[in-house]
Amino acid sequence: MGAPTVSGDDTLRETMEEYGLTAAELGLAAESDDEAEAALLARFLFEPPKRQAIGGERNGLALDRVVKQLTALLRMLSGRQFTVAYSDPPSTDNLNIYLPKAVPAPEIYEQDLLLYRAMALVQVGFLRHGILQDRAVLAEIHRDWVLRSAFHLLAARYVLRAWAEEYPGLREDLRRVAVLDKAGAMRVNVTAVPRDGMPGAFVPLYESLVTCLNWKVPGAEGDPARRAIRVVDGLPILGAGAGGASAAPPARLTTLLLQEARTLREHFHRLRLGPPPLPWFVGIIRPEWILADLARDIAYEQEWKKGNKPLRQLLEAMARNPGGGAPPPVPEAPRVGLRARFLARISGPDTSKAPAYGALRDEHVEQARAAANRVEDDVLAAPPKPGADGAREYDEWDDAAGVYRFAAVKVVEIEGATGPLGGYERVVNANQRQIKEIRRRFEALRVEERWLHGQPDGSELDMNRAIAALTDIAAGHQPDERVYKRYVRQRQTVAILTLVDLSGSTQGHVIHLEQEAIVLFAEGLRTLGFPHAFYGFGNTHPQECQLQRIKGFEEAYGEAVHKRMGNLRPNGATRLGAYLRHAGWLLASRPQARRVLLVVSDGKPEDRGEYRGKQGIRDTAMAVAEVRRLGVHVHCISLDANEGADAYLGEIFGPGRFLKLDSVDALPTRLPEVFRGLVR
Amino acid sequence: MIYYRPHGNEVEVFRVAAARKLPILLKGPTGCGKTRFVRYMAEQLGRSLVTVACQEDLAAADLTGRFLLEGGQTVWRDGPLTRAVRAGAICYLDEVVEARADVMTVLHPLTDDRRVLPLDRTGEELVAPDDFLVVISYNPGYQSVSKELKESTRQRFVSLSFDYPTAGIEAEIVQAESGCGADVAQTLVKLGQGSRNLRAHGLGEGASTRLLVYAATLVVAGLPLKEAAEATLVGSLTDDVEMTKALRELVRSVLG
Repeated sequence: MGAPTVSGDDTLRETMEEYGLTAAELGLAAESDDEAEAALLARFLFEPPKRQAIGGERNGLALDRVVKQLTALLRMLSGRQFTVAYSDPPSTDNLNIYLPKAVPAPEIYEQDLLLYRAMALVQVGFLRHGILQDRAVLAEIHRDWVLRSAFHLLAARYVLRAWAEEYPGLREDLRRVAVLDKAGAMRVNVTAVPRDGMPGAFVPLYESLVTCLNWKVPGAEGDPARRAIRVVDGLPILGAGAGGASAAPPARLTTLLLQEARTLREHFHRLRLGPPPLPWFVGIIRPEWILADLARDIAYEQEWKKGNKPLRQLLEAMARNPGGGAPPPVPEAPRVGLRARFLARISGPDTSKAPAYGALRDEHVEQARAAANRVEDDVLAAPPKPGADGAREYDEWDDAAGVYRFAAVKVVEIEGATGPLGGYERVVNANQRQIKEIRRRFEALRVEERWLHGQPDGSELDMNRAIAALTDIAAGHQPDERVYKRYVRQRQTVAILTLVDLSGSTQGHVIHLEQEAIVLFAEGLRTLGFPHAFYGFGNTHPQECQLQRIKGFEEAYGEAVHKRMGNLRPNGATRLGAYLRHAGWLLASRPQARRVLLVVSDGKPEDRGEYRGKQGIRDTAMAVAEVRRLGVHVHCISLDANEGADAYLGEIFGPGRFLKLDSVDALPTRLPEVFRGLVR
Repeated sequence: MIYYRPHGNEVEVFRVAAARKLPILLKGPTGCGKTRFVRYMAEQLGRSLVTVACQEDLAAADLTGRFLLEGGQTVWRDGPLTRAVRAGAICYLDEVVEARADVMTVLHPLTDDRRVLPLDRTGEELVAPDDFLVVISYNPGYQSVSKELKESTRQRFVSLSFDYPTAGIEAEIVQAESGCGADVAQTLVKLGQGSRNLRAHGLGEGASTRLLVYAATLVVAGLPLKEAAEATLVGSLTDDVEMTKALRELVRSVLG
């Protein structure tokens, strides 16, 4: 790196060359320093984020080999639940952390593992101390690479000091990392830069992160960096309780770090220096990931969580009728009344005899209230019969009126979307190790070995019961003849139906993970031989809910099923109550003694019209209660990471009957685990 | 004198419920102090305690009693529940969901206002004295389809939920139970809390307070802290190779 005392274009050129960039690329023809710097930085700032493996044929330790151990350790140390995914350089999106698929060759297991640990500690440290939570800070560092790098170095120093102070073992680890060659490779964004040409002004920033024998001892040009480090080192380490239970970070932490980074930026600008390079192991801060995620969340909220979308419906209807002819047909709404319900029970829906739909009238309410208790058992006595179109009608709970609306919603089973076989094969090929592990674990569920006591016949006498029988005889009582015991390897009988949310909100990342989850789960269930089915839900019409059959109970695995599994398509809303009732009946008709309904959903039960908020939650809760009365165990895995999710999930499924995943990425591994826990 | 360190209002609730003859349900993870609490309360209330560790072969007759042969004569022998009813003791059924379904049936008339125990074999109907109390416990973390407490049963009980105590209280307990120093107790609690961060995320359960006390006891007996932690907080928590490595790393990170 050029000496900072040299001024003008020579320094700029020198700087660029030392970063491995060509003058042509960077537009040395720029008319001003600012323009030249913008050209220098453009390459870093506007490059799309890469969440992929580093290239090269020869690599060191691969993340796959240590990811489970590493994730577990960091979760224990930090008290945070996150997932580790791939990205090079390491980074975080404020929820999960991203590490390179492999570290550079050669593989030296202990050193490479240490390096992974250090990389993860930086990123988890950012999560734990809320370094990247302030949107204003992120927005400020987003477009200023010098500021971003300075902020990053100071933040890394802070979080590593926090780890070292709390855990003596980690302090030793970080000391060892500081002298590792791989850890100290320098980069500006993803571009490697020389390590030993470090300008003196930067050097103090690195002293506790990495070391290099060729670095010169900085003179006065290093003072601002020294001062910034002293400030950071003087900040109290807060929020790191025993065992990693972290409280909220000091509110001013990021502001203080940013303030120091700003001062450094000004200093570096005065010296005509570019951004300080970052040691490879501290990774990169990607404000765009976090800001983009927030923007997407907001869009999602607006799209699915608010309102009826009447304007869009109107526009769509007008588009279909450009001439302004007859208004679009009003969708058929549910019929109300006991008579229709009973007629449907006997002969299937008969629309000619059913009363016309309208708002609930008082007499219907009274009628329904009077009949509610009487009808309840009857409702559960037999499944509704299918109509001519194969649809079954289900009652829905009207929470405001406090009654069931009879035959309020239709559920029709359709074959799930299909497509190329590649989708399924990709999941299987990419998860061979996990599939093997799931199969191994499920194998243990296959057979239950135990002594059955009090049997009419068996390999051994059950002494307790034999004595009891003898004493009964002596006392003049009728003895129990079941005085044997036998050892059995009993196959458990559990029927399992998995109901997967395919509503519009799962579009993107979630649907892919759901796909992966059901493929992995299916591989485990196949090993086990339990009867099982997968259905997907997402309705586009309020009163007609299509239930997509991905794999039916009686369907064998084959190309058709694999194609459906590998091509899940999101669409529509979440009228969950109706789907639960239908799935409950599908399970209730199974001969197995134990039946489990697993629901995978990413949000509240909501549909157009009144089926939202309290109404959606209460109807779904009633549906869960109905299904449980059929002898079906209902459990939910929720991907809704919102804080308020616990409240509505508890109301619907009951405490302990749902699992809220902190990270959607955990779904593929957690789904089989939840099932294993339920049937063990 | 039984040691118990309260960490909420559990003592007061138990005392009031017992005074009003209301059955009590204790919910909480393994080794968080449920059994110790019942023993403590029995001592505080001056009542005897009959404890039954439930398992899948435990049937109603095992609780109520049976006839035995003695010298050619049939003699009725009370089971633990009957003994507790007769003596006006606290009958504590630990991990009640493990027992056979008929166990809950026999408890029903004892857990409502009737407070009676019918013994079909002897033709008796025992009326429970005022001091008799049923206490049951289970671990709701085991969400098994076959091991759940029915709602109708749960609603017969006053519930007390337990969890692991806060770090400060837990260190106090570990120190008091084992006689170790404050530093050792705090370090072990830190390890325990770390392992609990993996509850339902790789480990079925994290380290219990009981396990921490075991580790501290080993230390007091002369074992180095690292070895004591390895023997209790690593080996006893998992058989999974990767999880074992992670737990070892946790121990190394905390101990240095």
